[in-house]
Amino acid sequence: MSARRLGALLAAVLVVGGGVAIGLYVALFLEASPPPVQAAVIGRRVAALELQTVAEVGHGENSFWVSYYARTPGHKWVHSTILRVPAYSLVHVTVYQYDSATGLRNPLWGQPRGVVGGVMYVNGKPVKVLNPELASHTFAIPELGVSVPLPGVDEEAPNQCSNAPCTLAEAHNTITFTFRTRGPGKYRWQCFVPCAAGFIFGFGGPMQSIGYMDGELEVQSS
Amino acid sequence: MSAAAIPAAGPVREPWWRGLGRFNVFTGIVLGIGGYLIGALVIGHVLSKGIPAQTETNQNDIEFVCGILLGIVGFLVGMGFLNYPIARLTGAAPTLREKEEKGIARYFTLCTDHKVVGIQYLWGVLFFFLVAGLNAMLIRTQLLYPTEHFWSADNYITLVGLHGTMMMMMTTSMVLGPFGNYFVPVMVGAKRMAFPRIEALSFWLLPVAGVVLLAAVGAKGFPTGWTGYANLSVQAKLGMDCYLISFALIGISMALVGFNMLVTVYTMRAPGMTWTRLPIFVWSVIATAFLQLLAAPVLIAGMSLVLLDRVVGTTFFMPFSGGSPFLYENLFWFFGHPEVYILALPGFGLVLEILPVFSRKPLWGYRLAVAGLMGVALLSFFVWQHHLFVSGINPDLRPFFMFTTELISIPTALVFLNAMGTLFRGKIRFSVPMLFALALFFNFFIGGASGVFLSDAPSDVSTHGSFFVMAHFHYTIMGGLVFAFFGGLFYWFPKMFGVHLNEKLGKLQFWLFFIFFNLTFFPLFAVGMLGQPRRVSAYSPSLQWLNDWVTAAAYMIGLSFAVFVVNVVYSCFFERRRPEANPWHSKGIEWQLPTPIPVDNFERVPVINASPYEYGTPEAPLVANLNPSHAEVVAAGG
Amino acid sequence: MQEMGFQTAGYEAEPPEVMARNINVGVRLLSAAMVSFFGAFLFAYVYLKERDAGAVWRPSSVKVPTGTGIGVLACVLVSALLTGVAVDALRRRGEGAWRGPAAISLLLIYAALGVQCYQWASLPFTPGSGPYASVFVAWTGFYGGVALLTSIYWLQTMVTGSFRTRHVPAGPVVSVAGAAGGEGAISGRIQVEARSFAFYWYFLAGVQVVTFLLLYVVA
Repeated sequence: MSARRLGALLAAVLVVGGGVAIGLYVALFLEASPPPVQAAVIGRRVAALELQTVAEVGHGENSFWVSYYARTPGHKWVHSTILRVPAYSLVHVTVYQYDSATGLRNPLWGQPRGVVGGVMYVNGKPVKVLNPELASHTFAIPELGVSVPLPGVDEEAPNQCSNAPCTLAEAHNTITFTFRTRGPGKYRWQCFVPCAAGFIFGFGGPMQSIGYMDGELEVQSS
Repeated sequence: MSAAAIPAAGPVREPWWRGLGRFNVFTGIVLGIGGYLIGALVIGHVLSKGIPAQTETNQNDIEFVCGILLGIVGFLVGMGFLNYPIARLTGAAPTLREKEEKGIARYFTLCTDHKVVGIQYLWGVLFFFLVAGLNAMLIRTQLLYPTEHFWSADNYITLVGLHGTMMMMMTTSMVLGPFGNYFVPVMVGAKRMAFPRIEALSFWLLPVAGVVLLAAVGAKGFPTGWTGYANLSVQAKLGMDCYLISFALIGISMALVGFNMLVTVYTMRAPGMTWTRLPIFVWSVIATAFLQLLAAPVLIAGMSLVLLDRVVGTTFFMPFSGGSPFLYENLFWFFGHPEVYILALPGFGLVLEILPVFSRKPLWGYRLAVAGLMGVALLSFFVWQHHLFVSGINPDLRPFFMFTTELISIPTALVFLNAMGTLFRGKIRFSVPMLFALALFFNFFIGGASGVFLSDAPSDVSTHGSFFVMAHFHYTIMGGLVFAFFGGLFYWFPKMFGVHLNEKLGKLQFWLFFIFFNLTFFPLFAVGMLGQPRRVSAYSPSLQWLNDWVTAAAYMIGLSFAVFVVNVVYSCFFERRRPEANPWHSKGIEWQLPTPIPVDNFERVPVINASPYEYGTPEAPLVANLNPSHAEVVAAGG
Repeated sequence: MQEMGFQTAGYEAEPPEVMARNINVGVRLLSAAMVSFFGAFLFAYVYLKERDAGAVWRPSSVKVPTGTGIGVLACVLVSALLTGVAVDALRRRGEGAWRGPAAISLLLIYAALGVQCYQWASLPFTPGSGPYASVFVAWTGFYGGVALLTSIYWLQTMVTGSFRTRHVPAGPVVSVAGAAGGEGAISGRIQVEARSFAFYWYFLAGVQVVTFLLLYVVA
């Protein structure tokens, strides 16, 4: 093989190699997301989800970040906000709320919306409107019209959680509500309270990150 | 090259690895990495100490930005860009040359030969065009389904931003970089660019910007698309810093290119090269350079202010603290709209350069073409607020900006008029460069006509932010600039590389590209009118068949580029058809020179005798006298 | 054009007026680019001050550091004045008479940068203390980082180059490269560069006057 053709081959290999490397780099980024958590199926077209919100993850790369966690049907808490639920079903959601209140910027969000009966239950008591100052986070799926305020725990309460996932022995509120899914697809869900401590106006960081205060509801045909 | 500057060929060849220790890309990368580590881990770490917003959020912009900035400085030091300034600071005399020896190594160094810089630009731009083009394929893949997606919405928007930003950054150099640097000095009869080191710097900032932008992916992406709107950008993750720095670097590069081109054309024209004998391509370069010089500094300032908001804590764009996101929109589009013409004008100039050659007729309405190009350049500074029609600007301003935007179609139309006048009764040869040149007018007509809907405030309200806008600007930029680029590449490839690209493969590429370009982007007007928004991967299921059609056609555009790659490899390394000295029978001065063009271009400064468009006049003299006598030089005003 | 340029291949020996015209035209274009660049800061100033909806443009706690501002302005203006004196001396009495005022002018630009750095270190407000503070930090920052540093670089190359070759006897050839030309060659180049630098520095001094009026007087 002549030197020129060898050079051409080498150049082609380098260019293709560079292209493949960049392609892999971008593909790995695109694929990066936390593992999906399947909702427990508890009846025909009925599923149950268990979530918790924590003020700080307490360990790992983003230890200061506020976050949601989700529980698998095997009762294991997973650091994920990718939730899989069946289509055209009722989903019973239980949120264990461990973070303290930061308040809503828009009081309108104090009203649970898009949930069955227009009501949520805080520690077993029905609530139709929450005092905006008591809210810590929201669980909202805009495309389904769901928006539920989550009341924070008292800052003076003993035994605050400092390391996620938190346990039921630590100070928390339990919020339950039910919503109905539509057809299959991916639906964005998000906390709409700017709760990212340290970031400008509370936005940024965890507020923009899937796995923290931002997630996807993967609705699958049952 | 002067004999004194050529190192004497020694009997012993130095081992190749010794070259790695000298100033080149390798040392640049090594010092760049070192600079990043020192910037991030030492300087940034010290500066960010005691600032909770940086240290307690796991998003330390100060460390990251210091790292990138010092990394860039390290790279430039490693490339040898500081050698000369340091020598000058200590009193050394100025010199103009740097690494102009022969061989492939000069393409990986700071080289002051404008032809080397042109070729560096060509491969650099093509590489990033390939990367950004592959991103486009991924975007279309995501849009195959209305709600079921391959990647998350967050990552998708980063992908869209990466594609858009890289394309907009790189395409600003797509014609001016390779062809402007390579041919403008030759076309004006100069031996070099006015400021050769600045020319080299303007190129090397391009790959640096590309790499910094790609680094955004590793820094969790950015959610703003290519426009980087505040205050979303102020609140975004670390990847946003990469966007801001890379775009500012491109701004610096653009301003330097514009500066250098203007000085070169103004001061270094050969005797006899009057303003009315300048090739029309050079006029388009002047118009573009004027825009680059005056618009790019505003971009640099805009990017810097966002960076200051993120890193230093200023409040330019934070409404709660007295800032305003509209400030960013104004700064960005004051650059952004002239940028559209930074992209379009060199394309116009290039095709007007090609048309006379392939229709064997003089360029019709030369002065009209110049007026059109300069008119577009001038008016482009007075239209930027049409991007803000739906952003809540003062409604009283809308009529003015509607008027100026629609006014700009008049000088643009002059260019179309020149083309039609040139083609009329010409002996047209449908060679590959001509096909690409003609396609530009077809595509740009659709792009321009659809632009009227966007310049008109009432219709813009319903089309803004939709795929209609996306289709419009792809028709103007891709349908205009990219087609012109390929036309220019096929036209000048024999001169630049001494190889004739295969005509059959070229035509195959052209027809694939032209047909599937239109099949891709024309339906997107309908998609936009039916309400599909940009930058969002979820859309109405009723639009799926149109989107799938577009995706399939987009893959075929990808195939057309693959044909181009095959053509280059086949023609350069297998077919190796040596072209005639002047394969297109052009009257351009560049075709009077040998191939490859010598380092100094001309042995003696030439005297220009005629315009380069005197086709059909058998007695017309050669454009340049390459070996003039002293008396001829004096007579020509030298 | 001189014959010399055509007799020798290679642009090292091109006619000196080519380089002179390049620098002359280049400095005017550079100034035009600077107008655009600082125009962005001016726009930010006017825009944010005029639309001061929340009346937070400059809270009363944000005191204008006028003393150091006057210091920077004084250094820049005196330096610009000395640059003019130096160019005049160069034209009338040659390079030797240029060196002194040029060197003092350079020292004054260094002094301006020093005072500017001191001002940043002792600012009575933070960059986040409202739009005025933001514009102040950005504008003075880029004036120091772009305008003053480029001026220092340019003037220092001329001054050190001139001092370094002051004992070299004048050669017969006026060459752009200067290396072989001796003091005569350097003087030829310095003539061109000094005038171009003076243009640039007057322009930047004008920018500094506008900066002072807006940031310190009108505030």
